[in-house]
Amino acid sequence: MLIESIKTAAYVYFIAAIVAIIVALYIKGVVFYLHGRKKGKNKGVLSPVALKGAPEVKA
Amino acid sequence: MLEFKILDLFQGAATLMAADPTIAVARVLLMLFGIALVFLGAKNILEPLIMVPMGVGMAAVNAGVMFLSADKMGTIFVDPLISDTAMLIDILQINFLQPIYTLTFSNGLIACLVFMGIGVLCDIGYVLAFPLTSMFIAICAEFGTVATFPIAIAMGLTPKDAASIAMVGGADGPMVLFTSLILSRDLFVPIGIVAYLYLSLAYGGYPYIVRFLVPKHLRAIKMDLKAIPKVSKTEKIGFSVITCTLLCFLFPVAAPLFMSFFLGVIIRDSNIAPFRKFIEGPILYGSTFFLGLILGVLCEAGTILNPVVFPLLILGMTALFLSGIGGIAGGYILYFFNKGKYNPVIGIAGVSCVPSTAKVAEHEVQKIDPRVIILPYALGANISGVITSAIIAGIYITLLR
Repeated sequence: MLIESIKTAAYVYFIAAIVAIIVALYIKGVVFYLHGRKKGKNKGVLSPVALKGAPEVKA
Repeated sequence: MLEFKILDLFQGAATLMAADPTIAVARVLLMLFGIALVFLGAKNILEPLIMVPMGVGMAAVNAGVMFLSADKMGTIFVDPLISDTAMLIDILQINFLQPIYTLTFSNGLIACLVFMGIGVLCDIGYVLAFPLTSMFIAICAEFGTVATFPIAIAMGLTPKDAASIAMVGGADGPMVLFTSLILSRDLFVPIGIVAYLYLSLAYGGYPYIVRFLVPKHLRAIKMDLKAIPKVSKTEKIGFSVITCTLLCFLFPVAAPLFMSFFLGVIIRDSNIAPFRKFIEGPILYGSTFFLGLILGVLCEAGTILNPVVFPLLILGMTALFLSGIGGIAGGYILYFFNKGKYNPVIGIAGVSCVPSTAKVAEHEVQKIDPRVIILPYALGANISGVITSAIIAGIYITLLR
């Protein structure tokens, strides 16, 4: 049972990692495509709000 | 004048005398614990938004036990164990919190509403700015979510219960509730309580893990803020709607969570001010309030004395601890991969307690050097953590349901 559960956990982690990588590569592709066309015009700090902190409410 | 015994007048005390001594002691301890939670919440030592209503509920439900019939004791707060339809209709007219429990809690609605609120608070642009590193950190920080599963099995839990308690490693309260509601309905009350108690404590415990695992000179590594690209609202909306559709397509059982989160994100970036105000105000605060209150009133002595609660306490802590270690390990991997130009503290933000762990990361580096700012990177990992937690919840539910 323990061996089976370790296999299940490894399987879950593997699938989750694959899906996360797919999502990340998809984002990377979108960002590359959109920002590649703008040739560096789009550089700069994301948002001044980021430097001040996030909202107080949490999960 | 009518004749009556004095204890008939004060049934809270009468039930305490009539109950099994273990239950009686547990009731008194839980009343005191509830009062302590209110105090700690009000002092901001624990998360006040959850702990204040939860503490009041816990103290009140354990005090307010009465004789429902000659041989039955109970409360008129909520009965979580009713499944028979006719009895449920009866009890809905008696227990004052039963409608909220039955219609929002036991079907996962409240978890989804909180998740929608989290979506409104999250700027998905941080994920779009650093997709690969954010997702990598987030998946590393899910280590506790998967490593706790075999540990729980070894401690005698069923696979469904093991997966539910392992989800505490994702540090996402609504996710834990949603998973345990589907996978282990009998245990979702203690699992929910353990999850929210630990999530409040994570804010206080993670700084020590960071200090222990990351030496001061590494905590002071500056991140390049000029390299952060601006992300337009159109890109954010496009990404959100496509990713939501894709993830719902892959994991239909977790579709309510994905939809709720990304709907919040899209409303934020669509500038629909009335919806945004409605979700981040009444919906989020209302759901959080009732979530805390219902969790509190579910903490009856009989529930807490369930022998399985003790292993759950250990496993919840293990899950959060391992996730923290995994996140920092991910930070170190990126530190070596980037030849020392990546602050490993960002790793702790992969544990998706939005935005607490990102704030912990920022706070810890600022204590070493106030000029170091890692918050944009930390929030990217943080929000990615929400997405990876939902992915793992979807996989667990699909595999084990």
